[in-house]
Amino acid sequence: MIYLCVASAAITVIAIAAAIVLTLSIESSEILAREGLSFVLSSRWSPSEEDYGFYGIALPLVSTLVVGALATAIALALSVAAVVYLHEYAPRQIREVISAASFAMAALPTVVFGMWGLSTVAPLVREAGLSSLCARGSPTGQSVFTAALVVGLMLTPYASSVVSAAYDAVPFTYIEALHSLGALGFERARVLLGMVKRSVAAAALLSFGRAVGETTIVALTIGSAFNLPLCPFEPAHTISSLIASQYGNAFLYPGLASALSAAALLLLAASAATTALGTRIAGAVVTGVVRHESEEH
Amino acid sequence: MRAPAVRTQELSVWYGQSQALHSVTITVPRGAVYAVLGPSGCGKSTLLRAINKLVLLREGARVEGLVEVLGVDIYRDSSAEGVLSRVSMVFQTPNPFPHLSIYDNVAIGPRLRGMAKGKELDDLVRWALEKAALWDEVKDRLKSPASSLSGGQQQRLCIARALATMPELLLMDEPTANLDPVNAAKIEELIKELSREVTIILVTHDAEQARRLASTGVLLFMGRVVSEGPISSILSRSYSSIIQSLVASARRQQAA
Amino acid sequence: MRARSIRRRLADLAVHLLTAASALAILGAAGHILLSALIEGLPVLLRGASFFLEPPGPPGGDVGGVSPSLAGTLVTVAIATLASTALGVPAGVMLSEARGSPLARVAERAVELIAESPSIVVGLVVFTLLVVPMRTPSALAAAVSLSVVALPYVAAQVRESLAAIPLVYREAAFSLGLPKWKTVFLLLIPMNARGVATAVLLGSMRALGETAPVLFTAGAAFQAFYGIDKPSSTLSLLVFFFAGTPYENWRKLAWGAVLLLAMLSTSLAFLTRRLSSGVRM
Repeated sequence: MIYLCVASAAITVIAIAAAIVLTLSIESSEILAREGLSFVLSSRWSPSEEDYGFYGIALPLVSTLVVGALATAIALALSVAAVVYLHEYAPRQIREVISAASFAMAALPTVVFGMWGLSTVAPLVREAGLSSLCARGSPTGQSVFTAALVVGLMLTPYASSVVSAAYDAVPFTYIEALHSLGALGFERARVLLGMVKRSVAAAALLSFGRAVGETTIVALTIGSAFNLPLCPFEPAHTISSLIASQYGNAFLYPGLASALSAAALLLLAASAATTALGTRIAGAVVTGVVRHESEEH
Repeated sequence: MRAPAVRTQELSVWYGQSQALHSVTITVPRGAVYAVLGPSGCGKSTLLRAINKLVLLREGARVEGLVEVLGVDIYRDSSAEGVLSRVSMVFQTPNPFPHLSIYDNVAIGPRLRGMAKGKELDDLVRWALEKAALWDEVKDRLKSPASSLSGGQQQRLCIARALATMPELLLMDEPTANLDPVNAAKIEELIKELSREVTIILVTHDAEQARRLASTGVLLFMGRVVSEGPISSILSRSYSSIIQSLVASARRQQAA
Repeated sequence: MRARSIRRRLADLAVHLLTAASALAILGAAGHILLSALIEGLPVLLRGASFFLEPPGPPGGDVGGVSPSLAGTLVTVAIATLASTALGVPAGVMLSEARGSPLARVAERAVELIAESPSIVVGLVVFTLLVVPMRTPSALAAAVSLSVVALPYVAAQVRESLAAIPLVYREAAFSLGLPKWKTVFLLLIPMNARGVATAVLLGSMRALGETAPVLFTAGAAFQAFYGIDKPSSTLSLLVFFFAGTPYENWRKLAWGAVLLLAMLSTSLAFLTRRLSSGVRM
């Protein structure tokens, strides 16, 4: 009886996952049949009310990857640096403060980050004159850079917890060995980071997966423009911000719904692939540490 | 008269509330193999780590008293770091950095100190591996990761790593405890060889090993010095009977 | 040797400063976010009952309040918590206790997939499956969306905390001779009450914080709460839409909502931490 309960819950969960994949596949079949690969390769986005229109997501695709990569780089740089500071240099009290702050930050809804990005970071970018560095620089300060910066900050608590856990897991004897060799803080960090490089890679992949799927922050800070951002201070669209801003028109333009579903399917595939890879890698936390007892020659 | 390799006076170490060493006073003469003997938990490892300040890495560690290494008061003198760079350590469980190659493991100490580069570094690494009786076994695979070596080889690699910085004092924390007899014997050979050039402080729970290798030493029990001096006088009776009577008198004291 | 030693020390100092600066940057950003929320939002919140009970004022007019969106948030989060718990707890139990069985293995992948799905994708699917047939966005659709997003976290938490029950207690429980699933239900789960409570909290935290899943599904009815099967809104949607508006009073409301959301999430988070750190056996 209980088993039935539990099993049916499991089946329902499977059904939900299947529904997600199936719905998207069915909805996107139309546009993929019509456009095939040019859906991904073309930068032409022209909705039409009468006929089908043409939808190419090349531009948002590129921006998605750019924002993802940039945000991941920012998150990783900040995380690794913070972890090294906390483990090699920081006194105990500071460690606790930063740990609490990181925890609070991880709990904040993304819309809070988005609001902050819009009200603080975008004006900063605008006023620092960074927009004028670009040909089509954003007048509002909303840009690829702004989005990547805020998303990167949002990702930092999680990335640093992954790296920090791995760093903590390094057996104490290696720390003693490094001290006995007279290694200074940054010299120890170099060796220890080498031992946890798998976790750093995992953190990067997991962060990238989340960055690619992030909608709220990006929609508020990227400037929603069909643009190829050769320069980071220009506005653009990512796939997620595109979906977010265009869904309302789905009723007007017959082909749009299918296009958005196809875009969503792409997003799902990208996010799932990077996250799955990241979780696999994170399994082996510290590189090469083998516990062996008395062994033979 | 040169200063002794190590001299401690009234050395006490606490980990938080519990006291690991009580007023330990010892003298380690230069060029000797000095054994630190005692049952487990007697403070041998703590004493060793008090000598190269690794004890400070532990939570809530506190050190009182004097520790002089090669004539320098390492807890108060500002040139402590300089003198400690002439001290190396080998640990109980072999701990070569697993992701680094054999070569890089040996080279790490010299590299940090800028002791040698290029060809000179290659020669230094070779020298250290030869001294550690490992060269012949690894000379064709210096780039392989250290984790590919067996336990006994890894310990010899750690010895090479410790020797590469040309220390004057070598601290060894039960270096053969986790090895099989064949490898243990190899390492004991090594220690005898090395003792001609380096002062060695050897922590061991194996009285016979102390008799074989050491000239002088100290017997610790519950963080206190029981006896110090030539090995023959510390181990005038059988080791087990010494320990038995120590344990018995400790019990009597507790009951009282 | 000396010069090298000085260079090393300088390099160490440089790294020390650089990494400290990064940590400071993170701290500063987090602080600034919370501070901005406080400075901009507190005055709005302190207007008292009107913030919680009134709808937003007209554009450029009175500030008013966020009551319909607040109601929407409460309703959707409540439903989402219930639904994700009702599904997630048994699913988590299956994942932990029937590990290795074909059903559990497929379910494990399914949970992973849902967790890996960007929340906007979930919103889009619920939009297609629920909003389009119903011909209207609704609080119900939003709640369903949020339930799906929260589900994997609940299931994973339950699975982990069950798996963490030490072997000795498991053996004791099973040695009583009851059928397997009765043992799980009557003994292991109560042993693990904290883990389940944490899972529920996690589920509601997720539901509270998400915006993207409700974007297409809730609607944008900020002026009133019309009912569960009618267009509605949530606090996070209010922030999303009012954040960029040129109207001063609406932006103030957005900040008030931001502060409210921030306070709710951080309290839930600390509660979760308290609970899970107390899971000692």
